[in-house]
Amino acid sequence: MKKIIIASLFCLLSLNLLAQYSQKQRFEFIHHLIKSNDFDEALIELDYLDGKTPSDSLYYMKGWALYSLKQLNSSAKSFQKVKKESTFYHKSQFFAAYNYTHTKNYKSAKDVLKRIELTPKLKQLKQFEYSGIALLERDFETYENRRIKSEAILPALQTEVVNLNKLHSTIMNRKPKKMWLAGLMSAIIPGSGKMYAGKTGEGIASMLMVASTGLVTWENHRKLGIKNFKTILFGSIFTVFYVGNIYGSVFSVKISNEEFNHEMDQKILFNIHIPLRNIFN
Amino acid sequence: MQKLIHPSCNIIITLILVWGLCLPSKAQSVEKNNLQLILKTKTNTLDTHKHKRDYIYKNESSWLKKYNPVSLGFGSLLYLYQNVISQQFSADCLYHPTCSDFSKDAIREYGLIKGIFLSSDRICRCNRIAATSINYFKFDQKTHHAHDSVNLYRIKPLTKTEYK
Repeated sequence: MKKIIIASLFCLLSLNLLAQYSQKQRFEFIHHLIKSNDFDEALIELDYLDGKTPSDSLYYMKGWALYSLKQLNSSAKSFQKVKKESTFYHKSQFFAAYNYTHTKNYKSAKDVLKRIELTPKLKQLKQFEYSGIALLERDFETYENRRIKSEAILPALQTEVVNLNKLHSTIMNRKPKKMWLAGLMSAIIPGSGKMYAGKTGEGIASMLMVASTGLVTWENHRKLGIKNFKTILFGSIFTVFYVGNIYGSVFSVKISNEEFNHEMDQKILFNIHIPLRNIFN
Repeated sequence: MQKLIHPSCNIIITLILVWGLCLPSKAQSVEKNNLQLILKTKTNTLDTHKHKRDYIYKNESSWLKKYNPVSLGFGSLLYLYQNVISQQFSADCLYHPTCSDFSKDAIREYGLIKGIFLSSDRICRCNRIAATSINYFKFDQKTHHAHDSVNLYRIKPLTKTEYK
């Protein structure tokens, strides 16, 4: 009887140890997968453990895997589940805020930043992130209030603070181009409207096309007269390209303005991302 | 002895002949395997499947739009160009969608006149000189074509509900 009790106790203990050991092994395996950049496989393992063990490490690793796979919204939600007691707390919250910023969900990003409980070292980082979001929203007043002005800047932030100030002055100094002016310029000199919009190559190409069709039409008109079929044909082609050039010039200004804004946004996002990698990695 | 040598020589010669006939078929099977391996990688140059492109007003419900002479004329020319003439060119368009697909989309979205003017502007831009002005953010990393959709050519941007 004693032997049976001891044997059954031993079996129970070993099963318990086995379960714990396999979970630990699983975490190590997930950690290895993430280090080897096998994020899809890591997510499969993490999803398996998700409902079973509520662990900060699990939420952090899931957030990191999703962030690496550029599923930023899901990543942010996973990062936000990491609790204050965890060693990954600050990294998770800042990256959650960055992920929301990248997906243009500025309100959620600001809410996340507001709720972070900070150490004195990270206060400047929070201020810097706020200033970056203000610049993305083109809220220059908030940017002026939020930007880091003191001389004692964290080394990880120094270059990016300077870059953000340069981007701010670039955006402020740029005068948006006018669509009607580009159309008018192209009507007078074909292609000049596109050059005004900053598309020099396109302007030259349009100018060559319209000029060549115009010259052919004029030649036909001079030699064969206006009622000749060739004059009418080349005249129609010239008209189509001439009006198309004016139309294209008007839209090229709109596209040029959008491209400028997109480029500035990408640069701002890059500059608010780098300090997070420097400080937390 | 001589009687024995003569049939054995015949056997050897026939064996050599048979072996020689097998060689080309072996070479062919090796070549076939190599071709299959190359085709597996699915490079553009070996993509033999010709994609047939649809007529511009194929799914158009309005009878007037579909069967009026001007639409039929332009639609047929575009169909002929896309499915017959374009297949003969080795050159590739700088943009995605291609110029002919762009003009199809523009005519469907904005009507015939505005569509033709946008298409003429696109043709003016589809060359090496104009390519120097293309913003590097527009290039697709995989296909190396610049994105230039018809939706960019609206005065007012699409709202979320209107976006297709």
